[in-house]
Amino acid sequence: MKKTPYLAFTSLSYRILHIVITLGFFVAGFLANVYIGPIGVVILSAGYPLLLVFLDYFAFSGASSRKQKSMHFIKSSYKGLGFFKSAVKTDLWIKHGCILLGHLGYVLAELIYYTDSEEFLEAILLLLIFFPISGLTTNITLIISRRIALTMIVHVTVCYICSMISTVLLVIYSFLMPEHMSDHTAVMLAAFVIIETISIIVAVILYKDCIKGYTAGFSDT
Amino acid sequence: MDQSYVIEGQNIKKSFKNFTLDIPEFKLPKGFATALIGENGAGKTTLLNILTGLRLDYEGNLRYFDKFTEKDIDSIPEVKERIGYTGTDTYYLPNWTVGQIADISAIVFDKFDYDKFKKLCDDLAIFGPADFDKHKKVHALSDGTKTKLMLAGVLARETDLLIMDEPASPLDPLMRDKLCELIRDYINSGENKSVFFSTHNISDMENVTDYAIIMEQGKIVEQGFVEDLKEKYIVVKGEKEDIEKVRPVLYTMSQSNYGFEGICLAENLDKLAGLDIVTETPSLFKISVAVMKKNSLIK
Repeated sequence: MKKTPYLAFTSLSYRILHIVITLGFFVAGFLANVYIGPIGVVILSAGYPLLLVFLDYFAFSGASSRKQKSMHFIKSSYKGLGFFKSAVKTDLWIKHGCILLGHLGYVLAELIYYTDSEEFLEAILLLLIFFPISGLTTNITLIISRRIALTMIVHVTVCYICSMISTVLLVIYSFLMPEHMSDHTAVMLAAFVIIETISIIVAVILYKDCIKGYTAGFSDT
Repeated sequence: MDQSYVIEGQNIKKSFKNFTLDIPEFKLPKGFATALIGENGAGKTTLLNILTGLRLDYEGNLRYFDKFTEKDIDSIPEVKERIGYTGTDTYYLPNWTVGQIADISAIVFDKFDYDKFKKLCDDLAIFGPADFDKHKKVHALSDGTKTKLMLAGVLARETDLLIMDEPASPLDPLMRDKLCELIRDYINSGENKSVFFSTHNISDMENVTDYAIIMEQGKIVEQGFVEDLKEKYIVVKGEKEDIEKVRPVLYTMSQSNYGFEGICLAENLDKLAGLDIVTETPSLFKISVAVMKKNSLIK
């Protein structure tokens, strides 16, 4: 039976590690919220994109590099472009889904340990901010790391920068965060919509960049 | 008998900063193994990439299998389906496993036969004495084994034309011999199957080469069936004292303390009449080196 392009393009270990990282973050988020509180969640949220981008190296490193020659195998096929598009698109969706699932850990802690409906609402609002920020920084960093066929050391540096961007964004947000977030639900929802929209736009740019890198191989670079 | 062609091209041009590929007319004979010979930077890979559809930014017209144009290569699936291509060692992503390569091949090529691929991997001893290992990663393979893997992948497909970029270079002598056998088997496996490969290992590939195209500085400087080329050129050997007399006639000449050896056009042999010379049929290697030397920038 033929596999889907994503399953064929990525290795089993790559996919398993996505699940492991997501579950790990889910559990860590749960424990952080129970034992440390929102600050623990902030620290974890910053580290999550780092792991996802680091893992990306093993399947999509340099995928949108214009000097990418390793794709000649699939470029020699008429179906190659469609195959590559499908694999990249699925991977972006899965990464986005993993980020969302991973962030549900601290919401679950809120649901189990804090019965106060206002606190639960605040956890949901935190999710609505942390999740798109994680997604946004992941996508921004993926644009960099997929554009250049990096060495492992440079790749780790990029992941570190990605983590710093995420931390800075989250810390800034923490300072701006009102004491009772539930009083500002409309503002928080608006912030979510804006950040998530930007994140999706960046994801589309990332996708197009990957395809542009692939097709650029057909011409002078 | 009229010769038919698997690819025909006119006015193929591709310019880079310090190099221009300029081929007014290109014909790849159908049903034969054709070698593309030339020094580094002659434009062999650029030409192969254009023919395979890996490079689309060129001028000129191409006709594939008597019916498709250069525009069809990216719009009609049949064209690329009928062409098998192997490239350099960056052909596969280093992190791919052999199993992934089989899976991807099954998706992107309609006529990929997994069992044949597995058998070819075993026949070519890609995993040494071990069994087929679909978890083996490309980066764990040597350059020669990567080439064997490319061959297994492309030969497991049903194609009408194989285009190979330097397939012999990373291979050991035994495997080069096997490569010649595989090429011959491929050509004999059906009517009008053709092979086009670039090579620097002319001697090793000579016994499978039917037709040769020699390139220099982006241009085709010589081409023809090997048997015809061997009639067109001739090896001349003679005494030391005749060196200056033969020099204007010879394409290339090597000297020793005892005499000289060189190559000239057979039609010019009468210009050497009266000299004490010995002639013999040249190998494709000698013809290629002579033609390349005549056109090379190397002093």
